[in-house]
Amino acid sequence: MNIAAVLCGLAWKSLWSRRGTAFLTVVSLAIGVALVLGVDRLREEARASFANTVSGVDLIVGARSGPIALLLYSVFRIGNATNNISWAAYRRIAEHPDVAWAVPLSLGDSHRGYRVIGTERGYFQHYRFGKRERLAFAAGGPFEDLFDAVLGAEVAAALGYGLGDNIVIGHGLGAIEINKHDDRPFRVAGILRRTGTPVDRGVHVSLAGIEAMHIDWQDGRRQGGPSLSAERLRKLTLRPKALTAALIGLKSRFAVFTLQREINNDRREPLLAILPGVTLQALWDLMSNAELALAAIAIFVALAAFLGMLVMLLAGLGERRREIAILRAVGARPWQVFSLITLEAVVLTVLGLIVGLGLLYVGLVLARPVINDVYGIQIGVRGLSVRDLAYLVGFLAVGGLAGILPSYGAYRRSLVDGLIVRL
Amino acid sequence: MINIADLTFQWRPKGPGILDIERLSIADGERVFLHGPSGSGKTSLLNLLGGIVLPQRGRVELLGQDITPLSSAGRDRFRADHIGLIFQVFNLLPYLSLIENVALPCLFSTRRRRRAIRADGTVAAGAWRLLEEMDIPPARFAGQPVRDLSTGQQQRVAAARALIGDPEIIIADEPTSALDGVNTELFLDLIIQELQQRPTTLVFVSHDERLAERFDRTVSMSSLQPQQGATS
Repeated sequence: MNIAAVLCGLAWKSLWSRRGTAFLTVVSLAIGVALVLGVDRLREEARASFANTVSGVDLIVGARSGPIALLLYSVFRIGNATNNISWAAYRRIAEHPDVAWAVPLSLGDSHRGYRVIGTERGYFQHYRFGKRERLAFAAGGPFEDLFDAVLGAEVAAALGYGLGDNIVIGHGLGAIEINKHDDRPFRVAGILRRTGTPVDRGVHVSLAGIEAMHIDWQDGRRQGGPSLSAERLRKLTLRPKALTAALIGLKSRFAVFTLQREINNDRREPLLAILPGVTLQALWDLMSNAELALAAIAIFVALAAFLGMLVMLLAGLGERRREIAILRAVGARPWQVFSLITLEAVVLTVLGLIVGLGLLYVGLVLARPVINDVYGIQIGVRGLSVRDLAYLVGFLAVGGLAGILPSYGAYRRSLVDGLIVRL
Repeated sequence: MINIADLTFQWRPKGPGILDIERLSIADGERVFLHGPSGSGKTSLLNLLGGIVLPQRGRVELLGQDITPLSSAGRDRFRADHIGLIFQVFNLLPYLSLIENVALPCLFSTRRRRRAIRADGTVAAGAWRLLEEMDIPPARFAGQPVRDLSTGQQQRVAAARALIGDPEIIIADEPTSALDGVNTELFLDLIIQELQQRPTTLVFVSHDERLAERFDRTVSMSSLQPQQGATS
């Protein structure tokens, strides 16, 4: 009979007889494993999600504030602009000889918790995500009429909208709008294909549409008196006075730094131009400390779990002196006693890893919609990466190492006690 | 056959507790009652016979072979193959079933496994038969955890484990000291009856001299020592 199989069988039966404490140990190991892998996974997925959101945009221009804040509110729709840029400033930049295209963005309204983006038709043409993919329509097309809206895939799916449906846009960004622009409903003219970016969560209307919605409104409240009819609004030429931000594409990327400096030094208006890639990197740098802290906490939780296992095995040794003597009596060698305890540590660790992976995936599946809702970050549920496997191998090694101390204790006992245990 | 001659042993050099044995000779199939008060070196002697420790001087000859020159692995294998041990109390592994406890030596000794299979067809069948002979019919007891057995029952299970695979030497270390009179009698009756069918050597260690009459010969620890009172 294979001695390894014998020892595995004994280790398993011994653990099974202490399945209460063993179970708790496995659960604490699993939590540690799930935390470490989960933090790592969130970090990677968040980075991938951010990096995929914007491509092919050379500069983002907004009112002067922090570069990271500008990047977050203009592209990722996280947070709000503190200030606007004037229409005149936007036109100056758009007409700059180095600029190939410019897409204005006007944010600040919402529809049932989803942000409304006032923009131009160029948005659908120039916006790129992932590996320079264009936006595509699942149904309909860009907005034509003043009161046309184009929905992101998720908005349409979550709210069950189809082409031609009327929607009412509220002022402000809350999920519950107190001030609804319900006198001028919009019609769904197009639905975009899913992109896995914040675009999916946007309601896109024309800049003129945003203006039309806000005529007769001031300071977020409806003014008294009769309101203009939709027909009369259509006949007006509506032009916004201000924008939130603009996405800029250049004819030649070599001009990017020159233009950036030019915009940042504009004396007429305090503007800020950022390079999305550079600012994203700054964001990572900013977050790396927080990431490090999270990762450190996760690793300490895991180490505490391994310590718990060590304590469980060490505490068991005292009660197991007779067991060790019995095994020695029937011919078990000291190293076999040693491996028996190590095997228990390894079995506990392997179970901890399996349960931990289960926790990780259940957690990811549960957290995915919440993270997407709150932060607009897409967390993919993918298989194990080489990195994950390296973590798992590392855990197994730590588990085995944690088993060495109690194993050595058992080994020493087997030599000191011999066959006769006098307690 | 057990032969010990001119042996000196102590746990630590220059430490207390020197065991000196001028001569101990036990014939094949002999049932010896080894008697001595606590502290008389019985523990050391059992560890020497089991090959767990080596003497500083002298030979420990079992079955015609001096085990002192063997490696520790060789001594462990010798013990597994040829010696059945019964302890004072707590002989059973709580996480193994009744049958698994009896069959345990066959996991570590190929020789004893083969002998058990030759005798009874399978190891489990051998364990089953021995348990029945020890008056622990598995049909009745197999379902319950071994820790639920009474002390007397546990000692008889330990005897069955010592007997499986038919080792040449059985060493029992105070196996009845935790038992009441009735259980002590039962234990002795059953194990002696069991050994009558085979040429097994039995070394029965006890401080209870009333049991001595059941054995072929009584050896006193003090009689082994060259000088009186030199041991602890």
